[in-house]
Amino acid sequence: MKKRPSAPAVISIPTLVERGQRFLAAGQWREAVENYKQLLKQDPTGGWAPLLAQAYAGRADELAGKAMFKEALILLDNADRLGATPGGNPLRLTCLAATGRIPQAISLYLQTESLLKTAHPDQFPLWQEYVAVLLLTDAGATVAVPADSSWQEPVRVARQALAALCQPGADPSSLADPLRQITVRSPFKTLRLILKALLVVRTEPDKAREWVATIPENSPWSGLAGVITLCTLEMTELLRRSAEFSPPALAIAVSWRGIAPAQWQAARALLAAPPARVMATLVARDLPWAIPEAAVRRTAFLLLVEDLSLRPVFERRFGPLDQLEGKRLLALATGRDPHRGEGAHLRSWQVYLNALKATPEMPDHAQRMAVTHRFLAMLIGLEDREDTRLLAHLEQSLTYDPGDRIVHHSLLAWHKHEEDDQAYGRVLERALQHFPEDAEFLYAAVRVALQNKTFKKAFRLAKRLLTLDPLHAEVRRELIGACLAQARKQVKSGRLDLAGKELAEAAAWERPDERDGVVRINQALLAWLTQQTAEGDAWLEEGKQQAGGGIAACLRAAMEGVRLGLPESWQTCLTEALLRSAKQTATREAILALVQVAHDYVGETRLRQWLADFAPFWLSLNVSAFSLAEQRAICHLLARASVYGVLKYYATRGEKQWRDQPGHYAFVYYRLLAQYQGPRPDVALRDWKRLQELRQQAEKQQDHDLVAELEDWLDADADDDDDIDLMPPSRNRAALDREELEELEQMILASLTMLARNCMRSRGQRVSRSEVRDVLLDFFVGAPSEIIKVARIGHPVNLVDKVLDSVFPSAAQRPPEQSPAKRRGRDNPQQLTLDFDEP
Amino acid sequence: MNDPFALLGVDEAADDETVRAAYLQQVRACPPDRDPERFQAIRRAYEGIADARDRLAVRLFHAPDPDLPTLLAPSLQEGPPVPPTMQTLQALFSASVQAFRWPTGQGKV
Repeated sequence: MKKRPSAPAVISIPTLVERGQRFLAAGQWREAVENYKQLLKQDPTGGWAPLLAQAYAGRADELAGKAMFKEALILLDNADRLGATPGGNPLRLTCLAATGRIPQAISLYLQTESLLKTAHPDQFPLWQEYVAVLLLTDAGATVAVPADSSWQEPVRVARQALAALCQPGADPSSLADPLRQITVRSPFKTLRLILKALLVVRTEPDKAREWVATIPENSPWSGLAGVITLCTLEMTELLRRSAEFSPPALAIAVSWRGIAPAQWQAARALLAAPPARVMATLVARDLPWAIPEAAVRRTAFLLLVEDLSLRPVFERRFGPLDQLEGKRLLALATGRDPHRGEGAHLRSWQVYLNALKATPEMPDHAQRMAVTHRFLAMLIGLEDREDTRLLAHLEQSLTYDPGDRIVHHSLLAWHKHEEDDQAYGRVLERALQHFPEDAEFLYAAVRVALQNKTFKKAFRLAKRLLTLDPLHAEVRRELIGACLAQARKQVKSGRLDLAGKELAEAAAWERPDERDGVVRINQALLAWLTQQTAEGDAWLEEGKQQAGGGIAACLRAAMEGVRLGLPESWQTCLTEALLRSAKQTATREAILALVQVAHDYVGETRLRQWLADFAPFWLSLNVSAFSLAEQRAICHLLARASVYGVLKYYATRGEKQWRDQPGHYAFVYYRLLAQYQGPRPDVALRDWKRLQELRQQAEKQQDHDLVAELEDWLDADADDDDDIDLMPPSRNRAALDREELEELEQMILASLTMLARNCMRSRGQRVSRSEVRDVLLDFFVGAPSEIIKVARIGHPVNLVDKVLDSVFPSAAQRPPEQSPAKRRGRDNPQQLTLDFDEP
Repeated sequence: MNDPFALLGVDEAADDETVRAAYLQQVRACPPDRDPERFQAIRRAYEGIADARDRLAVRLFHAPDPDLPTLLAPSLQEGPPVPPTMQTLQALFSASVQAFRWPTGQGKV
């Protein structure tokens, strides 16, 4: 016996109320309608009708979006019966118009026009435009417009203009007069703009395009504006994009461009036809115009690759394909077949190659063999870059065509990847024989010669390269670097005269406008070593100019001194010179020059300490003097050199200064990097999330370098998930500020200590505590606000006294004074003038 | 990749000079400021077949989809403008009405 379905359970009113609100809020209109219908049934006096009407209206909107206009109208009627929308609904207007009830739609608009104008002034122009288009859809549309309506005249004028446009055989310029009658206040003003554009589109397409570009995409006139776009398209694009436009727009554009309808229809039919039909049409020359034979053959062959069953049709027109072409056709078809693997594709081309080998009588046989071997190498490389068959094909290709530059390059890349220096050198020699004037090959050969310490050869090749390309900065850099390395070697082995020759050679490779002081400063250091102080001073002065200032030259001298392996006493002397320079008030240019020089020494152990020693210098300039890019470059250097104290100072200020700029995120990254003293994995969860956000921002800005740095950091973090539990507790802003101030205080103390020691060294043991105290207090004169802030907390005098206590040993601890004579000699540069100070 | 020969309108047997002349002609007809995408396509096509070896390689190993619009376009000639009919215009306005969607939901009055 069939079981009777049980009656649906009655849902309580509070549940229905709650659900109804949820449905309305979520836009679940159908569920909302059912819900409120049920609620209205259970509680007829509860005032649920307006909510049901709202649900009906929402559902109608949903249906209209699916082009179900008739159904939408029914639901709107339901909503109206519930007293929700007294007729003035744009959705109703749309539905009426879409279902062909144009007069009713226009009547509806005219009834509510004044209400719309006051209630929705922002939407009103759009309504007007929509109704204007409605009024032009057919002649009967105006029936709904009363004789005394303000629409009568604009509609008449607009129709007059359209009639003038459609006049067969009339001069298009005859449209100008009716267009003038459409006023700028008319609801048809967009029609006037488009028709004006149509008049000029054949002669001034850019102007026409510019005019219609002002019409919004969602305008009711956009269909007519599309005609202008179609008229300006290049013919190929017109064919390609024709499906994007409505048939009437396309028909108007094609006739306005004067394209013969038969030709246009034939072309469109061919575009929509399947390959077999296209092949048949092309082969049968069944087109109302002639196409060059070669173009037809190529297109037909490509169709054949798509569908091999068309081969008989093809061969009937163009003759049978020879064996070689048959193999090529098969290989091309295999490459397009998604069911065949790369192996099959490769094999099919190998078959073609074998067939090609057997036809040496072919006029361009060698050329074909060469490009086929090259192509096979490329196919193999796509699958496996280390497959040795790739190498064999490249070598084979060169035997047929030794002048193929791409193959020479590919071979070089192979041997470089394999780290086979001998083979690399051999291939390079061969490439140079064929391309003696090729800058890339010459540069590679210079590098190989330098690597092999065959300097004469390197210089010869470099000279040839620089004759061809005098601006080749890389080769100059390589040669100067090699000469400097040789000079250092000679200094270390005590052959100072030979070192001087190497430095002279390095100087000869410099371009006058690209000198960065490195050679001159090395020459200065060497001159001092050989007691030629006057000459050394002159070199230094020149090097200082080239490096971009005293402080930059000072750093260079210190770092080059380390590289040259100068004695410890020299290092001390250079340190003092550095500190003397560091005490100077910095300029923007001096810091930028310093940054540029410092980049040359990133990775060298002493750099970090030198840069940290410059703390007073870094802090003595208001960072707002820099542009965003400059400030970022400074942070980049400090991050690379791991000078985190100064980095934090610059990054924090950058973060504040550029918070409204798109590049602001970089400073947040640098601040975090400084805070954690490097890309450490034990990052607080909050900062880890921030780093991820920064990566997204950097990706958005296509900031690839920073993305890579952030990924390195985040990946390091991902490798060590256990550390998340060990994250430091989050700190509030006040704590951060305090920490920052403490850090600054430490930096100031360190700087003051260095200043004090420097002062004591330069003035000897006779200097008194009060003299040093005055020097240290001078440090605070004109210092940036951050330093003053810190000093106020700790008080400058207290800070200075703290430093003095640490640097002034008691009399008992003081070492006995050295005799001046003891400090003289070749290893003691105190007698030399190391004047790095700015003039 | 489109067919570079078709895009530049040159024969497969064209020499370097012909290809270059065709490229320059295309660039003049379609400068980068007017249609950057098409200009890029033209440039890529030229770079792909500027050299005789590359032309041979493209000819032998490259089988793009047949580019019928490029094949047919040169044959379609433009003439003096022919005015549209009123029926076509009205059909266009009807299609515009059908396609129109209110931009911000369906505001009620």
